[in-house]
Amino acid sequence: MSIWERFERINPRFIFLLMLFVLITPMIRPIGLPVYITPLTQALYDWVEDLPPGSVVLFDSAFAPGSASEIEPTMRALLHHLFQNDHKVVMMAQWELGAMHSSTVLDELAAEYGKEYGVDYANVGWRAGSENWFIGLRDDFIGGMVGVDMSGNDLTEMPLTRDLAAVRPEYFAGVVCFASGNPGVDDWVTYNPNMPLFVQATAVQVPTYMRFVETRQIEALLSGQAGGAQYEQLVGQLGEASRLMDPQGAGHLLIITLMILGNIAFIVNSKKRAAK
Amino acid sequence: MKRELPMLLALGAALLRLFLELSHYQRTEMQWQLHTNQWWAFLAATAVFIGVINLCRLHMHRIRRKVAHWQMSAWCLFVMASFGLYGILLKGPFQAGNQEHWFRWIFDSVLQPADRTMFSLLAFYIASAAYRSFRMRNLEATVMMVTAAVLMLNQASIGPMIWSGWGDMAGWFMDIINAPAQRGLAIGIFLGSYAMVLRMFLGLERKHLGL
Repeated sequence: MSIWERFERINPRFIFLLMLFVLITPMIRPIGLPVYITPLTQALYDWVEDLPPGSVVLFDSAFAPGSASEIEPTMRALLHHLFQNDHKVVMMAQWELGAMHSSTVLDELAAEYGKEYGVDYANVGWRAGSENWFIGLRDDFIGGMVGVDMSGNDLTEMPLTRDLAAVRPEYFAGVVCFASGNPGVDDWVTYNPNMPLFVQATAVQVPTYMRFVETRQIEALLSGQAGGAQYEQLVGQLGEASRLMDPQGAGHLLIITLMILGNIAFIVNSKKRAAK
Repeated sequence: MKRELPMLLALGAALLRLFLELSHYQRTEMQWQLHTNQWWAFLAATAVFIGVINLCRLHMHRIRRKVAHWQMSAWCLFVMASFGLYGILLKGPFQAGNQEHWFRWIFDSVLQPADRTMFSLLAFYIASAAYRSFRMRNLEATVMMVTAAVLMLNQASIGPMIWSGWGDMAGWFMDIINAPAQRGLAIGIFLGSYAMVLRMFLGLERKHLGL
């Protein structure tokens, strides 16, 4: 049996081990691969830089913890950026698990910058009701949230939220949607198209959202962990995404190498089979 | 009447929704319109409760019949009931809030790592599939393989180190090839959904009524 025939019949467990090795090695010994900033990441950074002081930015967590490795780094870097520039953050969620996950991140970053809950940031969480709930928010934000935040505090008693009558550009400077599927970006584009929309999506979702970028329905689109690493570089707060770009690069290289070798094996073995 | 009444209700709801959306387009919001949206949201929220009842019925049935892996059904019911009841009992049934330490601990230390681990496994399966599935069997498969390789090289930092042109090439794939295709797909899905909804509202489609 030739080496190419053996390669075609290789035990997948061997590939799993190889992948594990390729992912772990750069974590222990970082390579320091450069991170290139894309125009779509730069657009989010420039928007935050140009915001008037004290602007209220709405975060929408439309993801589950499974996608957090790709999405959370941007959320952290963006919170650094917003809190450094004295902006305010209101967090809502279209996914219930996203609400729980994001509240941990928000609380951590707010504590780091000494921000006061209800004045500088608030977390209103998730509500059942899907599209109808979401549509209602564009007319009545507090009513749509049943008047309370994620911890049961009265929204009309908090300085930050009491005047936020509706999810409209008059009350929020823009919305940053952290999305890994539906509901998410499509709801903003369809039901609330007037809100300036910025998106951090999992890499697998990015092709679906590119059509909104072309039509300027999305102002900025950050792709997966790479988007997070780029934003960390821009803000100067290197975190998990920057650290994990080396393993990601090595993992991709292994996959491409396997694709090339698999095709060589396929061609060589096909020719052999045809000759027989 | 059993058939006509649900159909009439569906038609009425559809016309109301259409009217609301069209009037909102002109930004002439009215109080009753807002209340209708919130009422709809409440109705949708009650569906969660119905979902829980359905899930219980399904798994109770599996446990009673002792079908294969019925223990998993029991575990599912136990986890759902214990996590749900714990959350409700913390503050009482009519109070909001889920920031309690142990409630958060279950989420942060059990659910979150489990969910992340499940997604992380994809990396291994993709690597394994890479050498078996991405084959140049025909023109279509070759095009797909080349596109995947270009986009991967663009996404990873290592790509631009090999050649700086991956970004432009990936951009061309995404903007010129992918975006119009996605748009076409979205329009197709919309037309299909629209036709289906129209059939339901006109009473031509009755499967959702169990007829």
